[in-house]
Amino acid sequence: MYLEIVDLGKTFKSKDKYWEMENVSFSLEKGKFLTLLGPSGCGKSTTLRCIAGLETPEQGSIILNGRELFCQAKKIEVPPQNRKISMVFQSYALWPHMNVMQNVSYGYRIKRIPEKQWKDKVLEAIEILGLEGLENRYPAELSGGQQQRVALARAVCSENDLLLLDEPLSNLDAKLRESARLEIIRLQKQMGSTIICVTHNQEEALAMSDEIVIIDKGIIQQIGSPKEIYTNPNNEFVADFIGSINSMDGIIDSVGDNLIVKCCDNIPITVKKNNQQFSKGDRVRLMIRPEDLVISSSLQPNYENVLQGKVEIIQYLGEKNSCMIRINNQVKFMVSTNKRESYQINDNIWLHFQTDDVKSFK
Amino acid sequence: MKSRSRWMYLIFIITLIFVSYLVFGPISMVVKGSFFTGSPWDVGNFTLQHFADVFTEGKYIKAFYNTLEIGFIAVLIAGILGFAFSWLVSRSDVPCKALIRTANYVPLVFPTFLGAIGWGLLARPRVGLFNVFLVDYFPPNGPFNIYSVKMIGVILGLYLVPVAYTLLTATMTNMDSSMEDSARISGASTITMIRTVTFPLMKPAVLASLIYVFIMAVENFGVAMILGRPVRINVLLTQLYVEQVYSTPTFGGGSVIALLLLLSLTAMSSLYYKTTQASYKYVTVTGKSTRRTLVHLGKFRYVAFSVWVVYFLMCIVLPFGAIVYMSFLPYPDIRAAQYTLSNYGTVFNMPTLLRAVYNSFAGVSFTAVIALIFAVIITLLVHKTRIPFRKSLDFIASIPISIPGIIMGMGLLFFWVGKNVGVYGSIWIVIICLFTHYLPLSVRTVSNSMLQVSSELEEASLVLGAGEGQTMFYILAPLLRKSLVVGFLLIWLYMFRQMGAVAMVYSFGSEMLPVAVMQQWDAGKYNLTAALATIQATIAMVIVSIYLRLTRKYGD
Repeated sequence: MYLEIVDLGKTFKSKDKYWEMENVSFSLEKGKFLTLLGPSGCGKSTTLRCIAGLETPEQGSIILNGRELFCQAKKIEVPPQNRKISMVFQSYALWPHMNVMQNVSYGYRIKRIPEKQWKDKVLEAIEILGLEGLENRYPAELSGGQQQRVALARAVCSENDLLLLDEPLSNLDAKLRESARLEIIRLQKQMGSTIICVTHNQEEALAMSDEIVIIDKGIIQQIGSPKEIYTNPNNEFVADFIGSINSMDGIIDSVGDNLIVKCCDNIPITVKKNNQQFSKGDRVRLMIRPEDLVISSSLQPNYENVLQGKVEIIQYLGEKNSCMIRINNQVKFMVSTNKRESYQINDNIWLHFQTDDVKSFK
Repeated sequence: MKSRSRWMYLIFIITLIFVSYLVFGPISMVVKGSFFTGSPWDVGNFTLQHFADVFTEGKYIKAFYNTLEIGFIAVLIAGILGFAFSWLVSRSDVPCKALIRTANYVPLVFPTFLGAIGWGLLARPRVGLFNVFLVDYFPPNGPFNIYSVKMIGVILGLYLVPVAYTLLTATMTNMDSSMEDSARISGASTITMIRTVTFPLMKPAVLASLIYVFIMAVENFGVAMILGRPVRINVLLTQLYVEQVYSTPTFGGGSVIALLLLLSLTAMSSLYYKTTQASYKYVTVTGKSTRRTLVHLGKFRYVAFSVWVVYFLMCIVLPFGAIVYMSFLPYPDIRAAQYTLSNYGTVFNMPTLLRAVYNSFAGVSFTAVIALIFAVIITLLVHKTRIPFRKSLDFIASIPISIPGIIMGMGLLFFWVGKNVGVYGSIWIVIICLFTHYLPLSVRTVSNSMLQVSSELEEASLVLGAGEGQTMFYILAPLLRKSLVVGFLLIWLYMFRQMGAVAMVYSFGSEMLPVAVMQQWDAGKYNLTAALATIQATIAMVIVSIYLRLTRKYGD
């Protein structure tokens, strides 16, 4: 493997906080885009900074392109400046006393490499990121989006083995974020870079990554492609964190080829078995994505599961409507409806869904 | 509505006239004295002779060079140590950071003139604690001589370290540390990183803090007086003081010196202001994460810490130890080996000294209350009303910030001497002097805490139907109570340690503690001086500890 992170661990102590990260392991092929995703304070940024060498892990090892960058057992720690890793910081960390050209070429200039050898690479990076004509501007004279592209240009022009992005889009406003996201994807395809990105925004992670690592409370919850993670979440946390999901509690009634779960005042729901061990009488939580629910005002054939409910709230979202359906006092489901279907508040409706689409967790 | 705003205008105009009178009165006398002949109370003829006199008289030229030399030495020492300690605390893993931070409050307890007294006791020629045992090897005066221009600069520099430290730390902690991380990622070693990124980014802040320290060194009166007076070394401010107090007052020469100092201090202040503005050019987008990467000093950790410990010993432990020790000796010789409380007895038996303690405590408390009330009125008028020209009040109230206490005092003397209203020669002129001198500090302290209260909190109360008076009483007052108490203590502490302004305007019956300390020192009564200094520091220490306790709880 091109990049291998094995059993990384670190504890973090301060006056009012104790927190640890343990057994963080994952690997990445060359030219792929991996995202570390999790809520704030979960340890994803710490992992990234350990890879960069800005923080020292207490255990584990990091191997990049055949070189051991860190190994606790062998007491190896390569300082950040020798790791051949580039990084784009959340604040972009553009040096305000240097102009665009000086910022981008910094890595070459401090190594006293003659200008002839790097001029073309720097200009190419500036061109790829659409910064021509801004070479002599200072960071304070650039817009947020331009600053972000300068930070990217500075990171890619030095041709390092790995590019790290720390929340690269969080400083941009919503409209700019979309185009910056496309910019990063285009850049990665064009330059073939290997990228690790940290974000807490699941939409960004799904859109950009080849691989997603979901972390919570310092522990890896799931590793997989965006599709795997979305359709087959390992646990409740992942299911809830990625996309939106409806949940209800139930008790297992019978275990056969499928599970039968009694929910919402004894309505039987058929659920596909997964690798968890269930037996009769166990409490389970069932989760269904809004787009897997089919809503209609009459009972439809060909669905294994059906729930009856009442429309409680309708939100008009432009391309679609989002309705809150009340099944009973405890259970309320969010459903997306086509804008042509017009339901009214207090309409009685039916929700239909397939066995395969229900996820069950202990 | 109509009548209320009429009241507001009336209060505004009265305050504006009152503050202008206090601020411009002394300044106008200094200007008049520089360009006109005659005494302060009569109208003379226009002349430039005073300027000619000043520029040709050797004593002023000498004092000018002394001021410069002391300023540069102080800037050098305070700049280097201030930068080093600031970097260590905010960027490295040096131990005992909380201790180093707290030590910045020490100058409040232990004003620079007390430090000078401590160092005087330690390193006076021949009889100083350091010299007395070595005098046989280094005849005739021992190896150390604290009474010199260079040593005045060094001692002043030591006590200005906290100033430089505070100014630099503000910038260093605000600087996004990912700027440095980013340099390392790009391949820079620690040294290259400091050279190409850290220092260039800090440059405006460093320059600004050096200018500020220089201004403080020029404005300082106590250290030069304590350590220079015994051998007749003068800086400009002590020259002014000595002329007004120890010989026949010269109206013209003194005014010219005061005017020139005022102008150059104002110029330096605006240079300082410009420099701090320039550092805003370096403001960039800062991320929400304020994660700090600390530089691991490794084995230098304790080396760095011990440098600070040596500084702390030199600044506090040794001089203050010398003062306390000396206050229990019957005569000023360390070899006395006899201990007595008679020095403290003298303080409580001599009416002038006891009065000085009482005046300091009562006078400062009274003045601080008045200053606080005026600061609240000015802040309310400037920030919470829509009166036209309200900013002018803020501006005028901030003018005294670049007027040294000595000059303020001198101007006030000239201003009140001809007016037979019971101000000149009474404690009132001391109170007026302290009030005017600390008006800028008071206004800044109050407006800082008042502006922190979001105006939405007040608006919410208004929307719910409370009147403006009720809003002030139920919302603003409770929210501000604590910060006003804290502000009061801070103003109190600054007034309590002020020496120059008070020394200039006091008279028999209105002595203050710092003046008594200075006089006993000048009279050569070192044990009595030490006892008075110990009392001064003890009172200040009690107030500082209350201040620290309040701010700590308030901070969390």
